[in-house]
Amino acid sequence: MNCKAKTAALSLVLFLAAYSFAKDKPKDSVITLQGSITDSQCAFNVHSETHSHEWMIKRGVQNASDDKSCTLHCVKDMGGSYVLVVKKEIYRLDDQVKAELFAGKNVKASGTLDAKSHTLHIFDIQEDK
Amino acid sequence: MVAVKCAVAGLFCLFLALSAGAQSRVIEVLADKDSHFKIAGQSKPEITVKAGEPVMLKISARKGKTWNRDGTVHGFTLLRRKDHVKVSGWDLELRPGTQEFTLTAPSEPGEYEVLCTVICSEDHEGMRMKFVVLP
Repeated sequence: MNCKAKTAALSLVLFLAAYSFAKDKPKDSVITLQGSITDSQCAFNVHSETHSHEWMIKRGVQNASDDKSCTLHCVKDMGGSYVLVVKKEIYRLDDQVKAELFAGKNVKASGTLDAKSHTLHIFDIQEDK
Repeated sequence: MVAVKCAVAGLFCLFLALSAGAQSRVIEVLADKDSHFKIAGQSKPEITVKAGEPVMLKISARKGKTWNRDGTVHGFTLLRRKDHVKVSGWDLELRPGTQEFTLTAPSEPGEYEVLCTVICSEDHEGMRMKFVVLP
């Protein structure tokens, strides 16, 4: 076998190996979720059966008078992070800057889900009016 | 020969890592059920470290009045005081019992604040502690 034939054969083997690997690897599918952007503290806590800010607002916590202000307070002043609450499911969000724009609002967010960390990698997020 | 060199290099790295771990200062903190951080011997708890210093945080946590659904009872999150920016790697979730965390102090000297990130009682908002980074 001459040198060109060897190179061609090697290229073919590499191509087939790469193709086979790519074919078997599951692709992350894009999902769209409808829910509200809230803070991790209110969302994860047992006091909040509805994953809402009701408990904080009822207690008259300073800077927490409605959904938006409570979300911003818990993240900016108290070290929390923005999350997406869909019914009783809570998704962590990779893009905290984008999420902040919708603090306390209902949104439609699309992206891929990292099942292990339950984190949504946001592609697009829009207010759901 | 290459394999032997790699093995020696690996052992050397392991030795360095273990040495660094052994040099970390141990700071013991109690995240208590009354929503206060406590440090033995301090009436007002405060942590002071040197910039970039390796530290081992040994934190004991006791469940307060409320906790998170995943079993986390307190948080231990470090924020830069001037702008409330979180310090990377210092966002810890505490479960009941004692946990150890090997961390590196922020490289930027200044005043920081440790906050609890789990709503642990009506006094949760006050569960904070001063953290100073010296040059």
